[in-house]
Amino acid sequence: MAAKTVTTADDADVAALLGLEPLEQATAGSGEQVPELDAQVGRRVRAARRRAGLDAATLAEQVGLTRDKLSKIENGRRRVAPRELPALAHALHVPLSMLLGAADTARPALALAHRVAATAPQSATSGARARAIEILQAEARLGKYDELVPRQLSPGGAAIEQLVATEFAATPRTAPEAQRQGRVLAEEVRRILELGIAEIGDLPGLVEMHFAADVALSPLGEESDGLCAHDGEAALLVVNTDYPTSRTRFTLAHELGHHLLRDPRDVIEEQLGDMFRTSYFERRVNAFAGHLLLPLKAVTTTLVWLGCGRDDLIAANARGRAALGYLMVRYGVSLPCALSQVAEAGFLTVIAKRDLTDKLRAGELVRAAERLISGRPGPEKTTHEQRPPARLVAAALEAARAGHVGMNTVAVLLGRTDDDALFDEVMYADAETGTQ
Amino acid sequence: MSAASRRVWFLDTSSLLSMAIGEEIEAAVLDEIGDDHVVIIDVVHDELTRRAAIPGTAALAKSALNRLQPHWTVMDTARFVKLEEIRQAQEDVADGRTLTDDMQHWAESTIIALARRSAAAGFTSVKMLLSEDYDARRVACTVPYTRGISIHALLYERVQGKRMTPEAAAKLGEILHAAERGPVVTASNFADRTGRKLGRVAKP
Repeated sequence: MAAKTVTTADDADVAALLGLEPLEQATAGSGEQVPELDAQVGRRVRAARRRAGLDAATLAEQVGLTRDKLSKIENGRRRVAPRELPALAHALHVPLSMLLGAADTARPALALAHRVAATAPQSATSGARARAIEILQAEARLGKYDELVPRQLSPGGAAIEQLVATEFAATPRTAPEAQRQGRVLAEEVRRILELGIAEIGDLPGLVEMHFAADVALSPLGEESDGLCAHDGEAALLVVNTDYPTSRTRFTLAHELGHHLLRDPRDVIEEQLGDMFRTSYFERRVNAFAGHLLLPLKAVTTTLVWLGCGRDDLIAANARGRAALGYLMVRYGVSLPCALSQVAEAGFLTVIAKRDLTDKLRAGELVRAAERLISGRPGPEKTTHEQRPPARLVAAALEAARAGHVGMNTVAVLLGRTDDDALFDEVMYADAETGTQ
Repeated sequence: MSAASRRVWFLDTSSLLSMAIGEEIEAAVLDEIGDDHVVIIDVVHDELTRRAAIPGTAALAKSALNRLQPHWTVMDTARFVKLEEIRQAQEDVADGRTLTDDMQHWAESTIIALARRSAAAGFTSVKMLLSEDYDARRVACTVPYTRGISIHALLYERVQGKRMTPEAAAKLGEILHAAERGPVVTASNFADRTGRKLGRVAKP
């Protein structure tokens, strides 16, 4: 094996250079157990050899092993040497990684990532699923050598979890009941977190701060609005930002509803209108989302303040349009969501709401409200924002600087290209301008 | 330098290929290694041999094989490291990337696994992994008594130690760049005392 010009190390050399003693090779009667991984590799080698139509003698010759040694490897009675694995993969025309198999899935984030992949529809893995998988895998890498700050329930979040367990355990059996449960839960969340009727500016931050879930906002194309992946130990909400901000926010609130209400599914993906199915589960979380983002008291208070009555709204006059635009901009909701909440607050009938939904345009309403509220991005705008889970970004930057993860992990989380610019930003973040 | 304090250099496939590009590069590396031990693991040797038979990489790989020094040690790793340990190291080096080449990181991962075993055995000899792969160097640096270093970083240290001029280092950098084995670098990059101007190619 060795080139003629170099010396082959014997056991004494290795002991002197590295302080290593030889591993005991498992042989019949030696008592040494072959590691499970080596036994698995052996089984995969045999299966791949049979698929390739190779007999053992031919393969053994190709990789420079005796037939006896190959037989022992295939039967899990001999460890596989580091140099033998590439040779076997090469001879069998399979990737080395196929013989080696997947890494362990004992880490919670990785286990959830596998379930996200495994529960994908047959068609393909959507952008939301792909994003969830790469974030959960990155989390697993981050947790391999460093202790991650755990996802935590705030005291308020814990109180809400307790409330859900006691008051919302029963599945709604009617549409009104589903609507009522969603509204009451949203009102309780606002009460316990002392949000009053204020708008929720940083919804992802609020979710992460109180509800033990990571939030990722990412541009994901048009396949799905997002997903909620959760189990007893890990929770990740992914939301697509290739849609208007109001839709992004509603989706996140909707996914939070699934998470808070302990949806029994590990992975709930929102594809093509899934959110608006008429199932009671979806009605309940939609009601929750609407009331969380725009509570009824906020609607009433705003309309009274602006002197906007039913007639103004139905006529869609200047006052009515400005009021609706104000609610949309301040609370970051879409026109349909604003109209639904206004109707539920008793200012519109269902028919009037439907008429206005068809008649009004979000952009016009936002412009109509400019004199009341300005300097905020309109909810009809699409940001394509990339917002990784805050907990993981902080951990990734520290781990990259310590060498515990590479720049790829940072790049994946940030949704950036792993290039020199990113490397400099991460490694020399504290450098003074002009010193680089 | 006493025998006990001599470092142990592991040269991986990428560094041997870079050294094979030109005698000046090889000379600079060998001068820096000095009297230290050099170990070539069997996996690296096999990879060079395999590449020597592949059009496109054959010439450089053959040259690298021919340049192996008589006093270097080739190590049969079979009896000193387990597959699971290499797989763990490979996972760390890959950093979530899908491997594009079956052999990608296998040799460096085997070296890192050996270094981890050595450190776990309480052995304090300093192991140096000479590698052109940033992530392999990064992971190596997390192992006690082990350091990953690239040829650019090695040249940088020679410049800072006044064993080479920045201009001479830049010339070798140009040769590596021309062979598509390194970025564009300048003498001022090597002269910069912070080491930051060379970027990732000279880190960690």
